[in-house]
Amino acid sequence: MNKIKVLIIDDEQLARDLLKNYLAKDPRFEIAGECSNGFEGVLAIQELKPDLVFLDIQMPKITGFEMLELLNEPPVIIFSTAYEEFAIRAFEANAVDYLLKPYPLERVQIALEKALKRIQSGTGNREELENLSHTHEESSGLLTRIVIKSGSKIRIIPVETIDYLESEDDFVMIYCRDGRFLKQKTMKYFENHLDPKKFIRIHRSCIVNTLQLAEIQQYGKESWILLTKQGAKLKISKSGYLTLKQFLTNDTDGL
Amino acid sequence: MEQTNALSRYSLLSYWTVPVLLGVLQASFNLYFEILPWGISLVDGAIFGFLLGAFGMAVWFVVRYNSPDGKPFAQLLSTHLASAAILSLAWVYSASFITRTLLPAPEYLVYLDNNLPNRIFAGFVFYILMATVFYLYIFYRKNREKIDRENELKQEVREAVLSALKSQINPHFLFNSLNSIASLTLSNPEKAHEMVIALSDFMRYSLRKQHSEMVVLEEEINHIGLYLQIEKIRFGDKMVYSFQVTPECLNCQIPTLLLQPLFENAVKYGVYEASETVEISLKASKEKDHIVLTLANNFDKEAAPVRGEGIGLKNVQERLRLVYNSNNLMQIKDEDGKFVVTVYLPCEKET
Repeated sequence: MNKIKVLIIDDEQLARDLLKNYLAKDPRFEIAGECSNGFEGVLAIQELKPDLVFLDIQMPKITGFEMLELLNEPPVIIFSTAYEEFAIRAFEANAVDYLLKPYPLERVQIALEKALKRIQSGTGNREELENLSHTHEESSGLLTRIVIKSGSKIRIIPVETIDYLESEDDFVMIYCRDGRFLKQKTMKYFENHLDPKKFIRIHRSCIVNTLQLAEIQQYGKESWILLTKQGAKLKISKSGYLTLKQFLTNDTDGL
Repeated sequence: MEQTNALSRYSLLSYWTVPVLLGVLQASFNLYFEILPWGISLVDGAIFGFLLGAFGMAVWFVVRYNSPDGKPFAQLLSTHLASAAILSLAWVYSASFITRTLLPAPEYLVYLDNNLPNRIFAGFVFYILMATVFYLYIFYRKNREKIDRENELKQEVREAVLSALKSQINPHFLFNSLNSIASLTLSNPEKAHEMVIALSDFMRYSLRKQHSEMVVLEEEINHIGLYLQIEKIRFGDKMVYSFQVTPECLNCQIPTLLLQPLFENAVKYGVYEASETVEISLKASKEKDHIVLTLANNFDKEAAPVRGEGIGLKNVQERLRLVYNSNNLMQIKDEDGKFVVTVYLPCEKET
């Protein structure tokens, strides 16, 4: 039987060393590589196609979660972190296990057995990924940035730089200061995870950054058009118009 | 409340000086201008003075039970005018009844009859005067109580806020460090040994200093040294640090654990978020009666915000405001990939 290829992604050398040390005791596994941040992690996963990844969460550039979002075919994941508070999110992201640093060898062995079962059952992660992009982050707070992979480049978009978002089939097109980017998420997801004080869903297919609002024009009896500061014209639905109106009234009250 | 209901012994004494003085004045006046013989003048002065004092005390209760808050002014005024009239009349008639009985001399009786309206008027004026003084007295006492209470409250809030603002040991720092130790025990036991000791010293300082407000800069710097030593073991070449402290400020007093959140901030947004080497430097020097602490670190300009920004820095600023009662002791510069925090601390030399 082939050995299970393991990739370790953690920004601390000593944390990686500890895992390597533990893994060396089990001949069924081999270390395919190690990375110190999520950018390297994405490339390494595409290149090395590991079966199992030990993934830290808080890392430079992008978090472990953000890195997972960029993968089309994520391998089996075991999170390894000092942060207790991400456990729910980790399981929503379909992680096999969640290790809290520091952990003993026995605990890692349990995680490895679970991972082995998942790998051998061949369920893979294809359909689980579908779940992942819908459920993951449900338990987390508001987004401060969005991570995008365009071609071989990874791009981080701070939410303040977003002008508006439009749905495009199964994707969402993000229009921002630096251009436009596709992200495999739903409008619902963005509606729930962008600060409602700053972003408003003005139409089934559109969420706009309120700071970009320049003008609202009435078009027909029950249709309106929003002009952004960049000059884009966006359709407003009836319910979107009401939300917008309420927002603007509250906004002027606050002044 | 009890306090405002009754007059203290001291206030009572000062109160009585007024009617006594008035009685003496009255008697001296009659004597000096030879209006009445001396015996009659004295008895007249004593009796009118004493009863003035006695009736005057009734004014206190009228004032006490007619608080100006929430009562229409007209009602207040009419109450006082009525009681002024009643008390003045009562005073003059009861006093003159006594003096008439004691001093049946015809010249005194004529004098008394001529002076009754003046005395009633004087009683009226005395009433108004006393009522005003009593109102002012109550107002003053209430106000002082209020100020005392406010100060007490402010002090309590200040203490609570200060203890909350002092840096607590960050659990993630602790667990990540323990993980590094776990790793080192297998690969490099000597280094693990070193790190366990640094971590223990670091924690002991944080625990020991939790309840003290000020500490000398030297101790704080040693403590930060431990913190950086630990982070250095974790991050290796990714982190470089340097201290440049002039010896004269080493024994200046600074707020306890003030540096910790500043360095944590530098490590969190500098080292944790960067993939290249981050340099952290601390400079401390003395300028006139201030010590100037400058903490600089470079950071990855590309790294977009991910976690709550600068809560540690806000806490430091708030703490400086509470300790030194000043708002402009901290400056933050964020330019071209370099983050610089400057803190100005009024220097109190250790005695």
